[in-house]
Amino acid sequence: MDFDLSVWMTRGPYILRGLYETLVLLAGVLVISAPLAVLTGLALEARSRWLRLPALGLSWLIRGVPPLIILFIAYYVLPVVLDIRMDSLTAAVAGFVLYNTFIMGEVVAAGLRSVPKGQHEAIAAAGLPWFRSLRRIILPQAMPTIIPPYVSYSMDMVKGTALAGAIGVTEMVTRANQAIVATNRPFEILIGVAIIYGIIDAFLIALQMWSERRWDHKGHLSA
Amino acid sequence: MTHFRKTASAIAMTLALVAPMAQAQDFSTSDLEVSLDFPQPWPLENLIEDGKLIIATTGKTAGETFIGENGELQGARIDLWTKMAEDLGLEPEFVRVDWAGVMPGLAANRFDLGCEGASWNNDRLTSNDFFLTRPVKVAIHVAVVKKDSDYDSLDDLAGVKIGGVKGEMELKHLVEATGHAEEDALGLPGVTESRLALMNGQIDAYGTGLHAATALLESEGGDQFKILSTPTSVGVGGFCVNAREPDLLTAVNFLLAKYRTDGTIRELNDKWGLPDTSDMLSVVGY
Repeated sequence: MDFDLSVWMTRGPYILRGLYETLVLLAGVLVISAPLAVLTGLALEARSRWLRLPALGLSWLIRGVPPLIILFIAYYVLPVVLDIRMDSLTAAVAGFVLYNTFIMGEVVAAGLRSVPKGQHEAIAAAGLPWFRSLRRIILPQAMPTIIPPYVSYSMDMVKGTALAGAIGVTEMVTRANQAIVATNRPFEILIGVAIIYGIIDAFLIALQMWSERRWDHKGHLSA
Repeated sequence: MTHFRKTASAIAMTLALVAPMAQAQDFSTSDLEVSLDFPQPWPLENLIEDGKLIIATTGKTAGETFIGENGELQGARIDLWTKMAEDLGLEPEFVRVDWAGVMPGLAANRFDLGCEGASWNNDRLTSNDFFLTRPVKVAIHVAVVKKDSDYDSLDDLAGVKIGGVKGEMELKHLVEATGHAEEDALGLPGVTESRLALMNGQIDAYGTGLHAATALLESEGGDQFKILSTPTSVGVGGFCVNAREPDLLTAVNFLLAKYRTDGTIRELNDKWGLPDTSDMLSVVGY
């Protein structure tokens, strides 16, 4: 079979519009779930059992459900059960944010656990305000532990966005499939899409390396 | 005298009745034009959104509903649904979802209309989640194999690897026609994946509809495939209407009858290179 890349001349713009939807979805999920993940991580590590136990239960539940099922629930079940009607993209963002918040929440919790106990005790002894000490002392020390798995899960998220096609988001893979139907050129299109995903992931890896350089292993912010 | 009057009246009444009958014998019904007038706009009270007809489509069936070079949905079904929406005085809105999402979406009140030509079966006919419309086509299911293979009949497929779209009737019928166990067939997410699996040798044949198979053969690179001449099943296929919208079902059924009668369906099938089964529908009373 001949390999004809000219299919990207005719179908490329259509597929790349799907890349835009993929990036919007990804950015929405990562931006919204990041602060929620920090709150979830704090709740998972909270001393109060009223905070910790519900957070643990929800985390166990949400992480155990496949993301595709969460998307189906957001798009198909919520309108019937709770009369909540979201368009495809909003439902996808909401579903992925829910899933990602608890996945990343566990990463944040692991990072918080990595900070030596003595630091927490010193903060308590010095009577420093909670939020300030969290921002200035605890989180910076937890960052070197948090960043690698956080980026790794974000890369999974990049690939996971393809699931949103099942609820009508015309992201890149959905559009690639539609282009394959119209052109009968699966290999050229799929390899091209794989390269684009590789580029996005390479960008995230570069971001991870840059972040790791900024926070050294002692949690100091480099200049 | 009274008796005479009664007799005369009786004769007059009989003549009055018989005269039109005699005229009726001159009627030729073949020359009559049947009126298929309908209200425009059609009053529909249960639409999800006023003024809009929200239609779910996969956009993945060449010839019927697919993405053209301009990036827009096109095909025989897209044209038909657009005309249908216009005739009902509505604006069509197409939502692209996977086949697995069409029926759940109708049940969840996401779409007014869906299915490009869902085969009638007992589950679908009795479903509480959606209504099946009158047939839009005779659904002929076939097996597609590689042209250079030795498979020429369904009997040749006994014991070979088969596949098709997971949950679709086309795969079920291929399984039944070739005597396979259901768990031995490879269930794939879509027609695209089925075609790829066939090209890569993961399967030796896949089950699909005649429309999709014909479109495949006519597409670029389609000359490496062939359709086995014996169908795996022949039934009928219609659209699916949201179960909350019986008034829309009436309207769609009416318009399908009209479009079949006035040749719209045939014209669109010809335009998009699809096999037309309009005449066959008459055989089954539609």
